[in-house]
Amino acid sequence: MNDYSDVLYLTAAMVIYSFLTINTARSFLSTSETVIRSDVEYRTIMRAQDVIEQVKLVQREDENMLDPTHIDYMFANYPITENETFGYSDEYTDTFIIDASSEFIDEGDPLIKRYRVTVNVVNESVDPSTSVDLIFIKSFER
Amino acid sequence: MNLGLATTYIIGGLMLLSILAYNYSLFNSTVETTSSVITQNKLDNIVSILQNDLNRIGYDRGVSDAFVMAEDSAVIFRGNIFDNDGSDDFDLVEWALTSDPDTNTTNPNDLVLIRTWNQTPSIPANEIEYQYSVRDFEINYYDIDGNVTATLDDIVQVEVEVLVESNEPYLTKKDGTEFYYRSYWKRRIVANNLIY
Repeated sequence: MNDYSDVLYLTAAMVIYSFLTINTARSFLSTSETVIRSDVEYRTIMRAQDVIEQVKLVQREDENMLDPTHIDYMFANYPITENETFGYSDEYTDTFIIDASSEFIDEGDPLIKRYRVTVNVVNESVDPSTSVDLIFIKSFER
Repeated sequence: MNLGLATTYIIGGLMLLSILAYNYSLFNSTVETTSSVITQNKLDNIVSILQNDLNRIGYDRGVSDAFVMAEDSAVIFRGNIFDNDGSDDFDLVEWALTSDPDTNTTNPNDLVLIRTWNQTPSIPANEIEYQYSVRDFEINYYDIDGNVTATLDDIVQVEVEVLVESNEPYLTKKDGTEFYYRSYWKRRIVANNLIY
């Protein structure tokens, strides 16, 4: 057995070394995934902010656009799927599933009408997918 | 030659090669992660200033004459960018992408993006210039209905696209192809002072 002791020591050292390298590689892979995910989340938040920006544009006379029961309801066709190409020569594409809704907040105030707009954007470029929720309160003076 | 010694050299050599390959891979991974974080920070800095500026278009200026120039890669607008600055009510701000390569980075794709800010437009000499390196910078303008417009007084929405690349390549292939980390931002901003 003495003849094989060095080989056993070496085998044990190689196994330990393998575990160390695998764990370090896994840790770096995880870091890379986090970096990529943060970029994807960044773009998903931008998409949700764009919807909020469109709500900001709604004028007092177009208030019905935020009324879910009205024919002019701006989110009637939601959720929608949008493809967005970007990059210097549009070499990248992101697919977003955008859902949005609004609800009237009954404050009992005869002078102000408020609507709570909820936007949910999902980007499935990464697994698990990235989801962003934004809430915006739009007020109209009566 | 002693068989044991030869075996030791072979196994030791394999271990050494393995360690070197592992070290190379670790080094590349570290460079990629570091350059990606630096690039994201670089973009974040530009975006913070850009968002502040764009959200204040027309502030303290009323709804007319907010824009002086509106082109694909340059915009000049009026607005009070920071409260209580300068003696004039509004500032004059210009964002313009030049075709000049940025010599401060080794990335040959980097172009110079200039932000010129004058808090007292009545005194042109007070202009302050900031420079950023970007890969691409594009601006589109829309009216209140979301249609593309070139009429300055009709602009209500401004869509900006910024693409930045890392200053250094995170990977260089044997054929010399260099890979740069990219980070991207695009938003359509409705400035509060342009809607009424």
